[in-house]
Amino acid sequence: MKTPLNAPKRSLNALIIDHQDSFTHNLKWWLAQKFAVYVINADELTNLRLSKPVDLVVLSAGPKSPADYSQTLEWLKKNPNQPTLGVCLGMQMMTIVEGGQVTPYFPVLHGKTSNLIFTNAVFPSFPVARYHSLECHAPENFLTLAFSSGDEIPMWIEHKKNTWMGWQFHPESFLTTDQGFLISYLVGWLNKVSSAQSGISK
Amino acid sequence: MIPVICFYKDQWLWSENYLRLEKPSLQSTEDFLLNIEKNYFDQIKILQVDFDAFNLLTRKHSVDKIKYYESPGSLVYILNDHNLLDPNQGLTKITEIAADVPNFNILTTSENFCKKVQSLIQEINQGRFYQVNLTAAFSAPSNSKSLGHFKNYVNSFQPTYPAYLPGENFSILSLSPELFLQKQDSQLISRPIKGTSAIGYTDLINNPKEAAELSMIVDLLRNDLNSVSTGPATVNAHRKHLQLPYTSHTFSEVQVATDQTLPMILKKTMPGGSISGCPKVESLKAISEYENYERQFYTGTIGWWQQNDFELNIAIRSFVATHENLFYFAGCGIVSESDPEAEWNELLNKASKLKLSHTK
Repeated sequence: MKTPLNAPKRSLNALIIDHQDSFTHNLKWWLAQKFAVYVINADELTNLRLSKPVDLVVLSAGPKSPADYSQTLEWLKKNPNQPTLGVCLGMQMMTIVEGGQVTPYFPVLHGKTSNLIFTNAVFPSFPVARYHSLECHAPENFLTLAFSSGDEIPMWIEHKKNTWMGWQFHPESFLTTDQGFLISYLVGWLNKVSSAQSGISK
Repeated sequence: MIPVICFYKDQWLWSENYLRLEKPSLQSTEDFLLNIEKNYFDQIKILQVDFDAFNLLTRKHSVDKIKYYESPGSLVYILNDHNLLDPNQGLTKITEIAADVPNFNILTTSENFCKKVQSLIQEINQGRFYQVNLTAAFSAPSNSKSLGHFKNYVNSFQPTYPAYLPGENFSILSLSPELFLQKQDSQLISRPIKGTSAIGYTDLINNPKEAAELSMIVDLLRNDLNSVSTGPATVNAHRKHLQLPYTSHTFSEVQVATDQTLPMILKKTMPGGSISGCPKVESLKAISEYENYERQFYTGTIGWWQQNDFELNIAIRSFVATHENLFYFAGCGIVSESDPEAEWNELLNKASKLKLSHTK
């Protein structure tokens, strides 16, 4: 495991599982606003033994499709209660593991932006970066929190039971304007799901 | 000695008294550069590093690939003394006159190139990658001295980052418009170019395909600079206009603070994002599958280096001169919205300052 960033001391820690993406260092610095960040490659996952619990696991984006990353799919199946954020490919893997479908999407969106349209209209709309050629059809056990403007594709899903959240968009891209909102939401969500979990264990 | 010439800020470095060192074949590029850094720290150096100098993936496929010359992988000129000249003074100082106007052939056909573009578009739509840089070679018989050609091409290409690297077996002529990396003190900057239009800037800036092509590479350069940084990368400028005599481009500027030095920075960031693709590892695999020749110096980097500061170009719009031939190379970024014929025309546009015998 690589050493954490030379960032100010963070009480929260995050582990990125990297799928040979070219944006992982961006994701790392985006997370470093609130987390001490560690990175491992997806193919090291089988031998992963954590010396202490991780607050958040982040499944990175990456090339190709969920079926090409069997180790990550296996890991997800075994860890329904580990708070996990799936970015792009990560969200697609969550969908597959829960029995949903991931299908080719055309025209592909690489380096383009759309606005997030929230289903409950609580948050204002803002542009996010898209790098995907696949579309998620999440099953019933996910809530869809936001769609993309225009083509209305699911952009943000949360599992109703597992502590999993999926983002089809890229929070770390310079094209995503409100990165601060996203990191704050993520920390808030993490506090919510971990207090719910400790409630259950009592 | 035949002069070695390299851009230096807004001027030219010119030296006729230097030590030319080639990377030994059994030494890694990293070790070669670490030795240079240690032994010649204070001296001003001119450096050349090949496209695949740090990339073992493309080396695996190199056996059956065409090599237009034998490259050592990396070259350094240690300057014992040098002059700093304004570019015009430099041009005047070149008295050698090219004996011929090289007559180039493109070493592929439009049919073959377009077929590759079509196949890459398919792979992009299947999710293998977002963008791949596909290139082709040109050759011309030429046995004249290459410094005269360099002078002529500086006049026609109007490069921002020119260099002339002479050698016994090959000489490199770079007419690059693109800054790969510039480091001053702790600040590291890159200015990737993506987006091309032979028509002009308005055509370019209103084209969403050209916007996306550059945006992906900005995210990629942010990532690569973030891999050697002490804090997150900033995007200082996006989609700025660069007008060249033969084409219009857009470029952006990305910056980080770093505590690393040149060998590690190059190891982590080469080859440059704008001439490989995105995601990078998968793009490099595709390049080794689709291109039938080794790029060697082409799309590598050339520039100056002194202590911990340096300024390095992306070695595009560049020639290599052997005893019998002059080779030129050009390429374009393939994305899902690419039109094969338009990409072929972009390739020819980037070679439009050459005398081309035929293009079909």
